[in-house]
Amino acid sequence: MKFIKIFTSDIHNGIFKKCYLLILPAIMTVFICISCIARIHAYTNINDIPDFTYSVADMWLFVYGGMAQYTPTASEPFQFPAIWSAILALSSLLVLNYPTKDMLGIGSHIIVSSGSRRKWWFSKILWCTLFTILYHLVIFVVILISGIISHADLTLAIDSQLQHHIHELKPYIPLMNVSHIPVSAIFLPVLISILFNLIQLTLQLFIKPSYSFLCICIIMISSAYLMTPFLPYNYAIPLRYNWIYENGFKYVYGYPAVALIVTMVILFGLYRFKNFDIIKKEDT
Amino acid sequence: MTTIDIKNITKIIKKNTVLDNISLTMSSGKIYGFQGINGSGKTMLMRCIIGLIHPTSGRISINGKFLGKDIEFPESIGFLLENPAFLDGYTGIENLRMLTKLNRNLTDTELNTILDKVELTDAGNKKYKKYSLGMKQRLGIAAAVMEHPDILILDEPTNALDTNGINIVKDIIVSERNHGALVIISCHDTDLLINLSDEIFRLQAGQLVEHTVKKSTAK
Repeated sequence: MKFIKIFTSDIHNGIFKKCYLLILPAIMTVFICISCIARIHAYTNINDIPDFTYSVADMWLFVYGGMAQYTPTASEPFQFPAIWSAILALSSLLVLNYPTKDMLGIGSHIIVSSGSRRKWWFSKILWCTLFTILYHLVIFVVILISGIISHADLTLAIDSQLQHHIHELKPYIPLMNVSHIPVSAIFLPVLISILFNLIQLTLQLFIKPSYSFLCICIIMISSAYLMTPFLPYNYAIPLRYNWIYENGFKYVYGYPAVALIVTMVILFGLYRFKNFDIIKKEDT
Repeated sequence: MTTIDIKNITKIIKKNTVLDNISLTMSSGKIYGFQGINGSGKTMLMRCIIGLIHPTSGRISINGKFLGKDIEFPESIGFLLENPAFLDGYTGIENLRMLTKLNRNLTDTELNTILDKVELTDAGNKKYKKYSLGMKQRLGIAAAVMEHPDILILDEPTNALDTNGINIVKDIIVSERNHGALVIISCHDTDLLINLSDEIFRLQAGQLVEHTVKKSTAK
């Protein structure tokens, strides 16, 4: 019962009172969608296909696609996937401060009143998960509305040639001819986003929130640079999934990997929080 | 009857000993004053008693239950540590309502009575961010005492208060003590601390250097 009360207060204070923050991903996605539509029009003009149809899935893949595999060479500098990283980094940034601020403020009264650190920790885990889901839901809705306005097909159909063009992929990076994006691929970037926001939450029990955000960004950059399943942000890069990229990795492995890492993060965080000194860093 | 028994607690933070082998016993119906200069360990000791920080060694028991082992936090406690922290976007009464929901779920009438006590009657419906420092302090005291806890810990409760505010706090502390609460206070105003406290523990560089019992309360 007390857990529900703590979680209710987190929903109220950390979501309802902060819902204005969700305007940021909405605005950002509007601009990304405009850019996407402009690129699609450029593609149809170049190839002279005036009756070309694209889908909201094409737009989704533009937003969440990330970048193809990068092979470091002297002639090709590393180009960071700006859109993809902005989408994921902003979600981490928006969930950064609330837990620590709460813990050192009114939350310390709540923790003591609840009589249990565990309840507070699980409440924050759920809050973080819920906020991240809402964040991506806002993006999905904006993509959908942009698709409706721009007369895109409301299907999961994908045009590989179009993707190749709008992502400005190198000619030697062939995308496979796929007809539809699998539903299972759509949710994986969201799950990875939740995973890293939870990792960030746990890291805050060791280091300052700003440093934990920095760590997440470093992992993000490393993952974009190096295609390996051992850098888990790779599972949030659909252009590297094996359903569209021949040399891609089996993205379905991302699901058990996320489940395993999330469980470990939650339990590790719980153990750490049980022994954590609730005190401002400047007081230590 | 509430008893706090502290046995040989030491707290080391970043190789710095902030509490050094402190042992003391406190029981309900008394006001205990923690005296010492800044950095002497008063607030750290209070945080240990609340359960917010864990001692590096030693044990704290409350009514025989070990903190951090049998219980995570004291079962009935109210506290104000340094600066009060509430939600800016909420009114005074909304902040209190949110806190009391977890335990006793006091009615608005009861909350208004508490606000009356700290003379925040008219400010109860004002947003917290519009409060002056003194008003914030009064709300912090209201939050600490509203459920009449068995243990009341007030760190610098007279900070930012005018003479009238200080008198209100004194009355509240004495009233809670008379109702059987175990009250722990720290205060830079030595006269006030001596005047209010039944027993005084003086801390210096994390060590308990002196324990004074007022003659009127000494057995």
